Order: sequence, then C-alpha cells, then structure tokens
Amino acid sequence: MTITPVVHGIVDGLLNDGRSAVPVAQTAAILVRKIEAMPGLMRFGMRVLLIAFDWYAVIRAGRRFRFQGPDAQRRRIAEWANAPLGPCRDMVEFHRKMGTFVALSLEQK
Amino acid sequence: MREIDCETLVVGSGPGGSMTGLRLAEAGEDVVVVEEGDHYHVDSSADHSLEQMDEKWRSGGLTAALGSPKVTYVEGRCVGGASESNAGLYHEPIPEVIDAWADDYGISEFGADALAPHLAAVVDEIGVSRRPSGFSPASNALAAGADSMGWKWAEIERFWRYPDPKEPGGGERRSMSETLLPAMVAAGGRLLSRTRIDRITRQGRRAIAAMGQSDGEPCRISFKRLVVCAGAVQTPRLLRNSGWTHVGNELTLNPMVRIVARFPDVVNRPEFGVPVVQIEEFKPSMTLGCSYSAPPHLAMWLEGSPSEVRRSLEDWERMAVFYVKVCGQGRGTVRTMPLLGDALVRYRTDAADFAAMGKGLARLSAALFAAGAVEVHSPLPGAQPLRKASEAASLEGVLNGRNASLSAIHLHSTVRMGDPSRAGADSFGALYGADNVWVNDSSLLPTSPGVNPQGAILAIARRNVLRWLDDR
Repeated sequence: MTITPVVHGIVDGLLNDGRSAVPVAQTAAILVRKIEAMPGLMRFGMRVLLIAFDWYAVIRAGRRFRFQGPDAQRRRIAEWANAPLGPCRDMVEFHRKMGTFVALSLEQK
Repeated sequence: MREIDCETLVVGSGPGGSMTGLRLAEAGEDVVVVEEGDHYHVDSSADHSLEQMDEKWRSGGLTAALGSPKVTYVEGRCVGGASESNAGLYHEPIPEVIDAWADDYGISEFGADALAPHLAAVVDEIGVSRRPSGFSPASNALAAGADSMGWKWAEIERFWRYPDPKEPGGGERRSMSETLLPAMVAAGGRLLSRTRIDRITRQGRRAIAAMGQSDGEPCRISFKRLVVCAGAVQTPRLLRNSGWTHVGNELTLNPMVRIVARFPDVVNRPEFGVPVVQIEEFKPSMTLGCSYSAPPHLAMWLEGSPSEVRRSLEDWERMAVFYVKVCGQGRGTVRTMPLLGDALVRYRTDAADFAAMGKGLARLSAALFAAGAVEVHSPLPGAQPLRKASEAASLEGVLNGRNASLSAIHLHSTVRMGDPSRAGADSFGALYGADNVWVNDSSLLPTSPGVNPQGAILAIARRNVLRWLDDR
C-alpha cells in the first residue's frame, strides 16, 4: 500500500497554513524517500503507523485519511498529536520536525 | 560472483579504517579497504544539507537507538566515513580518562603517556588548526557568557586547514578522503567503495572470507587477516552476524539536548562557519557548546506549530542553536536483525543523565542570558520560551523519558579493548574468540571519552596497527 497520499496529507495539514507558500508535494516526496531509507525496523514501524493512521480516520469519520478534506485531515492530525500512545505522537512529531526541516531547506535553495 | 583476494581486509574507511589501511600499505602489506558508501568529493554537498544527509550519512541521517526516549544518531556511510561531514573538532583526550581506561579495563601498555606520541603523529600527519581570525558571534556569545559566570571556555581546534586569514569561513576539511586514504592508495593499498560486507565465513576461530555485495554484484573477499573498522554500530552487527556474539552488549554514547537562544544583535549568518567555542568548566562529564544554526536546523529545535516556528524564524539571524552534551551513564546494545538486514540499536538513558542534562540546560541558559540573550526556547514540548535569567533554574530536573528529545553524535564501547572479563577485544584490538580478526575503531573505546573522540580513535588505531606490524 502506498504511503505517499498519507504523508502528503500530513505535510499539508501540518505545514500549509495558507499564509506561506509551502512546497507540500516536494516536501512529501522527500519525506517518503527518507522513510524508505530508514533502517528496517524503523521503516516497518513508520509504515505500520501511517497505514493505521489512514484507517483510523475511517473509525472517526467514515473515510480513510487520504480521502478526507483539509479540515478533517487537520482534526485527525491533532488527535494523534495529542494521543495517549507515544508512537502516535512520535509519528506526527516526525512529520512536523522533518517536514519543517525539508520545507525550509527547499525554500533556502 | 566477484572474487577478490588480499592479505588484509579492512572493513570501513572512516578514521580507524583509514589509519589501519595506510599503515599496513606503507609496510608493504597487500591491503584492501572496503566501504559500503560511495566516494564523494569532500565538498560535494553543503554541510548539514539534505543532500549531504542523503550522500554521506547512513539511512539519510535517520537512525535512532530505540528506548525511552529514542536517541537519534548519525553514522557516516561514504568513503572517509564521518570525517567527511562532521565538524572535525580535535580534542586531545583527557589524560585522567585515558589512564582510568587502562586501570579499569586492564588495558596493557596503555595510558596518557603511551598514547601521547601517537596523538602527536596524528596531528602532524593530518593537520589541525585554529581559526585565524576570531570566532563567530554565537561562539563569542558563549565565551562571554562563560566569562560572566566565571567558567572556563576554550576554542576547539579542528582537522582543518585555513589557508587564507581573510576568509574565516572557508578552508579545507582534513577528512580521510583528503588525507590518509589517498596516501594509502599511493602506497599500494586498494580502496573499494560501494562494497557492503554482510557476513564473515569461518572455520572455527579462523575467519576465511567476507561475503557481501560490491557494486550490486555478490562478492567474496578472501584474506589472511581481517580488521573491522565499521563504527560502533556496524562493527558489532557484522561480528554478531558472523557468530561472535560476545560483542555489542555495552554501547555507550553522549546524549545531547539542544536549545535555541535569541539575541538582540545578529549572531548567525552562513559565512560565520562552524562554532568552535565550548564551555570546558564541567568536562569531562558535561560540555556546553554551539551548533550549526541555519534556519532549517533552528526549526528542528523550536517548539510550537509550524506557523509559529516560521514566525520565529523571521528573526533567524539573531538566533542560534546551543547544546548540552553529557557523558552518558546509560548503556545500550547492538543486535542483528536477520530478516530486515539492519542493526537493532537500543539504549537506556540513565536517570542520572536526565538530571545532568537538566542541570546543563539551566547552566547554559544562565550563561546565554548573561551574554545578552533575550529569549531561550526550552526544549520541552509546549513550553513557553524563557525571558529572564531567573527562569533558567526552572530547566533543572525537567527532562525525563517522555519529554526529552535526545540526539548523539559519538557512539562507542561495543567491542571494548582490555581484559577478557570486561572486553570484547584484547589490549591491541585482537577479537577474543578469533585467531585473525581485529577491531580498530570507536568500538574499542571503553567508555565515552568526554571530548570529541576522533583524535583518540585515530591515535589508538595507529598504536594498535604499529603493534601488529611489530609482532609480525
């Protein structure tokens, strides 16, 4: 299962505040590449979390995360950012920190 | 299958492997050094950039020791290893630490005095220097803060050549690909990049050949002597994968925590280069210093939503990243993961380390306010920035396994040298349980040295390989 639409949605929901021109597609593509380059266990864990996050949205709103609108996606992200489970929070934190790093690096070019 | 034959195979081309390969080649040995990563020019990508992460760091720089919290770390994976991308800071090892290693771990013919000539030779051969024309403003701020607090600070030398005093940000990195490795090739040694060794075949205690991939093709490298210099994670991964399971049990590292400080004046511009000042007052247990601080790196250590971080960064030239690094008391392990093909690294951060890092944050913040900082961004999730010196003490005791965001640069001790009851290799790196296998990298360091270890790694590697040659 491809994780690209999920990563794209998370990057868009986290970084795109509508005020600055964030290179969402490029940032998401680089994050997917970074995830694929992770050591085996980390890569496996991140993929499992992203797939679980995609399907968690079905329980909350009847549709997978990748098919939800921007506002609903932001709500799902906020739910996982404040989740009691550490891995859920870590997944969002990874995209926030790494996504910001990548987006700013792209802008600096 | 590609077949290669040599007298000595060196796995890894970082500082330990480069020093080993050069000394053996100079002595006339038929030596092959293999490196999993590719061969890039030392300036092929900007320092700390996305491109450099992809080119020169394992897994694009996204590696972590699992635990509570996880500790992110980086490993070099290119010809020259970490020396191609690190700050190249050169510290003479602390004599008391070196002497304690000899006593505590039963390392024979070892100590500060015994290592001194090897350190001198390393400095002479590779070259270290100080900036010819002053420090960056962020370094100056750290030094001023230390002065205000009455603490010792120092400018740290680098494996660097500054050819023109009029260009303080420039100069040449004295990495392995620029120094020892070309000398090794000139002396007749062979260097194979893009060659990953997965397993060593054995006959009892004797290693016979290395099996892996070279340029995408299966390869088998036969040797008489094997020297593993793949770093504190990959060295035990390879050895454990080949049946030597007594290694990889005592990983040590120096956990770091970072904060961002804002000043009223400009302290941060790309041309200011790498900060080279450290507060030495609390060494070896604790180092306070300044990090590379381009906007993407500042963003990594600023709390808040991405839009809040962006607003903060409108003022990035007045901000810089500072760090607290402690000699970790925790311990970790390196294990192999047969199905996934990677090392599984775990690390348990000791409660004493959280306390030390909290104390370090309070000290560092106090020094930065004393140097004129107007704001210090706490590293805690959701925390408001500190705006007064009197608030610095509030950082003491706040870190724990749930809220700390830790990283590490220096990993060691996975194949300690010394007495067999406490070590994986003997006093000169010969692997216990093997007749013709040696280790010669950061894995040998018995504990964290308390300072940047590259000088110590090079000096110990030189000491060991010269002994092997004497014993031939």
